[in-house]
Amino acid sequence: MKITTITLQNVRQFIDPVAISGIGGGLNVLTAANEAGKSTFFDALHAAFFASHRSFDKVVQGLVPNAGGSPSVMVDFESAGDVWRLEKSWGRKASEKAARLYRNGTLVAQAGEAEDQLAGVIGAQAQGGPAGLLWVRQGVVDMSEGGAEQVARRGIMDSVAGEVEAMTGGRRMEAALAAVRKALDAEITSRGPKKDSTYKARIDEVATLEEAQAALETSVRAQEDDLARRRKARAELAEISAPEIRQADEKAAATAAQALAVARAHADKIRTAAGTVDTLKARHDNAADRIDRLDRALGEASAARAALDAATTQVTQDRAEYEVADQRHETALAADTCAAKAASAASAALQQVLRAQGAEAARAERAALEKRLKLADETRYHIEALDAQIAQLLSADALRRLDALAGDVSVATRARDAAAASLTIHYAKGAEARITRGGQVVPPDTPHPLPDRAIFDIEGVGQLVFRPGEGGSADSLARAEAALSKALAETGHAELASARADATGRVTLEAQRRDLLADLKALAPDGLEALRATLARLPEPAGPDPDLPDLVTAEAEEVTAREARNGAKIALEAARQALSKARDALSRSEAALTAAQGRHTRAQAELSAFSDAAAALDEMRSLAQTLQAELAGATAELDALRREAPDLRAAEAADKRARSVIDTTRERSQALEIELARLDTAIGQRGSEGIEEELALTTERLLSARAALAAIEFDIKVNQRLLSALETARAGARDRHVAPVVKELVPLLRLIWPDASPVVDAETGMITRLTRREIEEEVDMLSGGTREQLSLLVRLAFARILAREGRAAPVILDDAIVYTDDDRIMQMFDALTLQAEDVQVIVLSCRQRAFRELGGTLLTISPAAG
Amino acid sequence: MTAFTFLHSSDLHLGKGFGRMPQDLRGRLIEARHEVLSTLAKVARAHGAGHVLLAGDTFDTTGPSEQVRRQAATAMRAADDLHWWILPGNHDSLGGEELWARFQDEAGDNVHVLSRAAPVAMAPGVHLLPSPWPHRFPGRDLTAWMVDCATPPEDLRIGLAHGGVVDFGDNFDSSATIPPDRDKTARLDYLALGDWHGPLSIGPRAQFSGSPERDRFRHAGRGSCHVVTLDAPGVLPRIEQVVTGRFHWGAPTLSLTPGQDVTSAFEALLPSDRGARRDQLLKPRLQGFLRLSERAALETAIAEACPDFALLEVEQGELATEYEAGDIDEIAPSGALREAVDALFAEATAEGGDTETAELAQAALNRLWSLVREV
Repeated sequence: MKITTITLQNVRQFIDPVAISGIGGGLNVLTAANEAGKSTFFDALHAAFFASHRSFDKVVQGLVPNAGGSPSVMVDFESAGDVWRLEKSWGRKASEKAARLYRNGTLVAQAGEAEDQLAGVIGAQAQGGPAGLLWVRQGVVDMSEGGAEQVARRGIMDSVAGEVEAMTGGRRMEAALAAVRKALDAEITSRGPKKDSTYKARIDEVATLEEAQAALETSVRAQEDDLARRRKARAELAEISAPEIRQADEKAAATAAQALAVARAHADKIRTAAGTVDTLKARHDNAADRIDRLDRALGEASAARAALDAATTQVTQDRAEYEVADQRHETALAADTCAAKAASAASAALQQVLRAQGAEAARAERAALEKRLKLADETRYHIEALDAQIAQLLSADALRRLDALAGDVSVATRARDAAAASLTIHYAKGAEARITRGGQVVPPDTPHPLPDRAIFDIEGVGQLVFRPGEGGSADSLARAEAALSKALAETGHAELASARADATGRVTLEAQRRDLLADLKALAPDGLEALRATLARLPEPAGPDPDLPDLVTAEAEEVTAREARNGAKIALEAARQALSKARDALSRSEAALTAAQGRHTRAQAELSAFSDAAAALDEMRSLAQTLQAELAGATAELDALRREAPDLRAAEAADKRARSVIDTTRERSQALEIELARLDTAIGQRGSEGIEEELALTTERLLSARAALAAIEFDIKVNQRLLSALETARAGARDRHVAPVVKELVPLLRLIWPDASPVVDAETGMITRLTRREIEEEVDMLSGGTREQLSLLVRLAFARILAREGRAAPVILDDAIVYTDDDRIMQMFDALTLQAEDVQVIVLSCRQRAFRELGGTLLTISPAAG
Repeated sequence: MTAFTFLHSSDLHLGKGFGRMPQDLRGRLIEARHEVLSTLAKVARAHGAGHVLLAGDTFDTTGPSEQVRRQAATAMRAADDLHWWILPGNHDSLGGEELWARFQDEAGDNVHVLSRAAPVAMAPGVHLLPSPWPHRFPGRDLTAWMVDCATPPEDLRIGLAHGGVVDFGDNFDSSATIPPDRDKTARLDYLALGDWHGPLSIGPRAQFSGSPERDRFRHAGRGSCHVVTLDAPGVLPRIEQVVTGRFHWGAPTLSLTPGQDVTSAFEALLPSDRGARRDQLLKPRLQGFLRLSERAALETAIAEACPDFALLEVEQGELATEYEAGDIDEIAPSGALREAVDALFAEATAEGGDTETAELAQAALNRLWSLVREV
């Protein structure tokens, strides 16, 4: 279909007939300012093709002029070699509703028939049909419009790609997919078996049975082990309980006991024989010992006698030597005593001389001390007198206080004077000293304050009495003077000068006191009492001894006496050592004598038991020989017994072992019986539980459960395989289904984006994703301009498809690329130009300047001819 | 000498739990095994036999539950007009000391647990030569001793043994194989054998009685026992097989081909008496090929018959689906669905491919066929 002329009347602002004529087969462009009526033409044209003439809905009502009337549209178009005219008008009244279709100038149909025929001519279907798809209004950017648009696209795709069935598989495919998915959903999730599903139940059943089987197998093995243990225990018990075994054990025990008794009896004999040997040996040893002791006693008696004689001789000799030494010692002692007395007397004399000399010095010292003490006492007296005087005088602190108060008076006075009236007299020449006050000439040129009443005598004039008024300064001065007077009164002075003189005197006295204190310190550094104590310690002086020798003589006599004494001491020491030596020698010899006497006495005592020691010694030697012979005999007998003795330890071991066998057998029997009782209980318990039967049953149930599980798993695999096959087939069909659209779309896209590759949804026929520069993006995420361009390009592609099918439909764009910038719009113009080679494209736009470069046939709105 | 009649049975497997069976069927099968004791007693009495020989595996394990053991002992004790001669087999060997000790205590004097390989005088002039299993894997022929066992030549010799003369599978201990001519070498008038759960004749004098109540599909039909009469030493025994089992076990094979009336063929396998089906366990093994529609018809027939039976378990592992163009078209003549079908078909019919992959593809295709058939 190709539109050639559109004529409107009574449509919105167009009351009079207007037309767009000369519309060509390729690209046509109508650019006009807003409100020029472009959209009115678009809407009217759309209504002509797609709105029933019987309709008076909002779309149709939107065409009615404000002034009212019946809108009518006339469209001339060509299709399949025929020239067609469609006339359609709408209105509220039936008379206003009309539809007429002309072919090659001949009216071929009216009203509904006209619209039916029109649908056949333009390939329209319900809700607009494929042609309606290609009408794009302002600002259409949505890629997924529903309703008529989608149906139209589906219709185009289906028409180029075959039956719908080929793409989707139809209801059967959907039913099969739904059933398979439902079956799978009932059993599994993406993560594994589904909770509460049969599959999960089977898995759990197998796991439970495997666990039960393992537990039962453990019990069965335990039962088998216990049975084996019981058989072994029974066999062992039977073996050790066999009578012949027991008899043999008891016989062996009796034999061992008998052998042990024999061995023990023999051992007793040996012990008896050994006792005899021991007795004889003891007796023999005792005899030998007595012989030895007697023999040694005789020797000792002889030796003791000789020693006693020698000791007696030595004592006699040593006693004589001692007596001599003792005499010499007594002599030396007497000499020493005399020397000592002489030395003592000399020393005493010397001391007496020395003491006499010391008493003289003490007297001098005492006198000096007494003098110092006297001076000190006097000094202290003076100090105390000064202290009394000082106490009567004004202290420096009191003076400072008075000075401060006087200062206050002075300050107050100056303040009063400063505040008081003053009198300055400037004498005239020749009148100097004519004014006096209190008899004193009032000096000239000096201000005289007059705080109080003042009387000036003026020579030759009389008196000038000055009486000032009351002022604040007088109070301060009065208070200061009162304070000063009070302070002076407290110190007993009437004037500050006397007070100050008093204080000056005190300072003088205090200086004197300090000097006296220094003197006292020099006289008695440690105080008067210490000085008195020192004096008290000095001896009372004695009178001089006229008989005393002089000191030199006394000292010489004392040295002489002392040396004599030293010589006597030496002699006495030598005598004492000699005496000591002699005494030691005598003591030793006397001790030796005492020892010899004791030894002799003991030796005699040893022999005193024997009347005849030698005879006794012979008798003893004879007895010893007899005992020696008896001992030899007994020892031989003992040796013989020992040689013949059975092995007692071996007999004891054999006996112990024989008894042990019996005991061990008894204990083992008891242990086995206990073990058998335990095993009987355990085996009986398990036997009651029928574990083997339960195991056999569980094993069979497990096999069955595993088979059921395998069946379900196979069933799931079958469903998964079927689902995979169905989905794969449908996906392949969809790819093929959208292939024609993609084929037309790609060249258009690449006019804008050189490497663009679209993903077209088989259901909607729209681009869902776009790949550019190897980046795939969801269309919904692209900008409004890009989506607007994609929307237009998809429609151009569908227009090309329709054209190829011989169902060419015009593409009508009413400001359809409003969001596209000027750079991109040139590329869109290229796309439009490319499509317009075999598709009629009518572009309505208000962007006159931009669309001037679109080229194509320029259209205008002009009054309709005739 | 008068004829000596006795009942020969084996492999009662009392206490068998049938863990692979559905829960509700399990109880019925267990109960049937217990009831077979009274059935054997009735058969013995009916045939004038005073002795029942159980040739091993009376119990399923050496550790049956107390209930199973005591109820078995009680049942035998109650039939005190009969002598029960019980040989421990591989399942209930003498290794189960606790079982046999308690059982002997609980059973009456008419119950004889044969614990030694030594001749026993069953009756005047009749000697029983038992070969009990000392434990599960004896590792030798337990009947060898019978050859050298002397009995008066004018007396009857009855051997009682458990084990295979050939490899029976199922934990078969080949070292314990019984020579097929043992009846001859041991001069036995009859060798009562156990271990094979179906009746099997090794020779005129050597017989497996089979289990009196079947317990597996390997041995079809209902359980039975042998009533044996020995007229005199050296004379061939007279043997009568008597049905004793309640449940019928069957595992028939059915070969199917495309174009066959599958429903009829399948139903022909089933007993016409629907009432009898309640005590039937059937495990048909289907072989051959079916088209998709036939397979669906088969599934319908199976589902229809299943509730009648104690157990109906159809094995279809050897039954393949044959796909024809019409079958494929029936799913989808064209389009995406057809592509999925073609992909699965290619996998299912690929030669030399992975078996599991082919099985999955075939099953997926069958399922798809079923799913789309309803749309």
